[in-house]
Amino acid sequence: MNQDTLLLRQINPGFVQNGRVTSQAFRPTPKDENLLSVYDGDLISPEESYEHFVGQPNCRSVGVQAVSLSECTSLELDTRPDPEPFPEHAVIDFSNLSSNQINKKAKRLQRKAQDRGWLHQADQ
Amino acid sequence: MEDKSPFLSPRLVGARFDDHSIPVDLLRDFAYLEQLLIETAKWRYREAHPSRKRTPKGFTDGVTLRLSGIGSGSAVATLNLAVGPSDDLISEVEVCFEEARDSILKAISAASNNTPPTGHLPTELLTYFDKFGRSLEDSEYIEFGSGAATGTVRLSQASRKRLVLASGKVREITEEERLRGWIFAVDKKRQEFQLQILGGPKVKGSLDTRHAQTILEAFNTYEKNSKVLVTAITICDQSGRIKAIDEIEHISILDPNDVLFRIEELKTLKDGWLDGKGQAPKDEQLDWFAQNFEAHYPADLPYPFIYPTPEGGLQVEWSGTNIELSLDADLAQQIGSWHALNMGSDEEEHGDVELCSADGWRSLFSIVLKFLEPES
Repeated sequence: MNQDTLLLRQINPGFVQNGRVTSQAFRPTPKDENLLSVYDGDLISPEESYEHFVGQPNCRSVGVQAVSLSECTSLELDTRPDPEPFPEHAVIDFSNLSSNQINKKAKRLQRKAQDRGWLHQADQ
Repeated sequence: MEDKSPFLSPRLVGARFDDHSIPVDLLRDFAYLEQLLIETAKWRYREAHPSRKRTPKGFTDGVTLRLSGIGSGSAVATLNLAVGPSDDLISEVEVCFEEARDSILKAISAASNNTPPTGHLPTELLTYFDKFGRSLEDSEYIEFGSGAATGTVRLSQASRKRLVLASGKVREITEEERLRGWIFAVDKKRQEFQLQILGGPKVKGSLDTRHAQTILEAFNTYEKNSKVLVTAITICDQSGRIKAIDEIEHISILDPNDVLFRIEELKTLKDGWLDGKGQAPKDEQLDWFAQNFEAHYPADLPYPFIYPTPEGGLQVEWSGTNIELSLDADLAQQIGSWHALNMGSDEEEHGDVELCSADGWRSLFSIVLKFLEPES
């Protein structure tokens, strides 16, 4: 992973309205222990990451958006590979942040991803 | 000549009648009741005179059901019967109409009690209930009390459907419904369109002249996710599933972020929606949110985006060029936390808001106005 690496995020259908993705998609849920799961874009393509994700039980995605590692760095968010679940797995670390700080960083990430656009979308 | 005491005093019960008035579309139901009453009176006469094949000439001349007043008690309609045949027929006609009224009320009573109404009305007359009572909403009913040998009886959508189906003459029931969805097909040759109902089936309707322009506009912008609200008479099967649109009363193209549409959309979520986890918001809580949002939201503000949260709440987001504003709403506790971030200056503000009162909602929307107005 380097500063140009794209961190691929699967977007749940509930997190999209009229093509716009909620900032919730870019912050960890309570069950995630403050770690937001992403795919390392250097190791897997957006389409392959989508196919891998929806191949898991109960996992649904309407497509893939991404933020770069440098964008996370500029927001003082640590990123790192986490290959234990599968080799291409990585995390963005939201530990030790207040809920408002998490909200703020998630909104910034959502804007970056929105400006970048969809890297892959499921067939309608 | 007109009867002195009210012939019927149906009490309409439901929120629409709380101010002691009756919406005009309910008057159509009374018109259908008059038709049912006349046909039932003719049947009663033939029953009493089996040797006669038809009612005497002038039997129903001048017979009308007249709405002469609306009283309090939700809304009580005073319906008088005017009869106008020749003098020698009046008393017999009056008796037939009183018997007809009682037969109708007994049939309704039977249907309400889940017993066959066919012992009180012939099957062909039961088909009139396809229209009489159709305008009632699910939570409403018409209560008949005085003037009957049946005690108090209630006509609701449930009893109406039982009456229609008991006729055995119809396999379909018509309903008045508000449908939300997308117009995804138009066949100009057949003068038809198809509506994908939100969370429901695809149904066909006629491309009638009055609404063709709106239907075509919605169809032509289907790729842009153009949504419509259709108020229509629908044809349903015996299980209540909509099979087709019989007649459109109103149709309108909705704002892309129409809140009521979005709330209905969110009702289709199931528990486990988020990778096997994620609690779905409860329908009654979504209705509460929609009702309050619509009641207090300033007309000049754009509608926000609304998303479910994993905890069964809602996250409401307003997005402007330089502002990202969100409300995390806890529907069960009726409280919310808002957070605003200026994307240019990086300034942020946040706070909590009570959503259990009108003041709380007004306070929330004054915050939204404060952040969004400078951009508009």
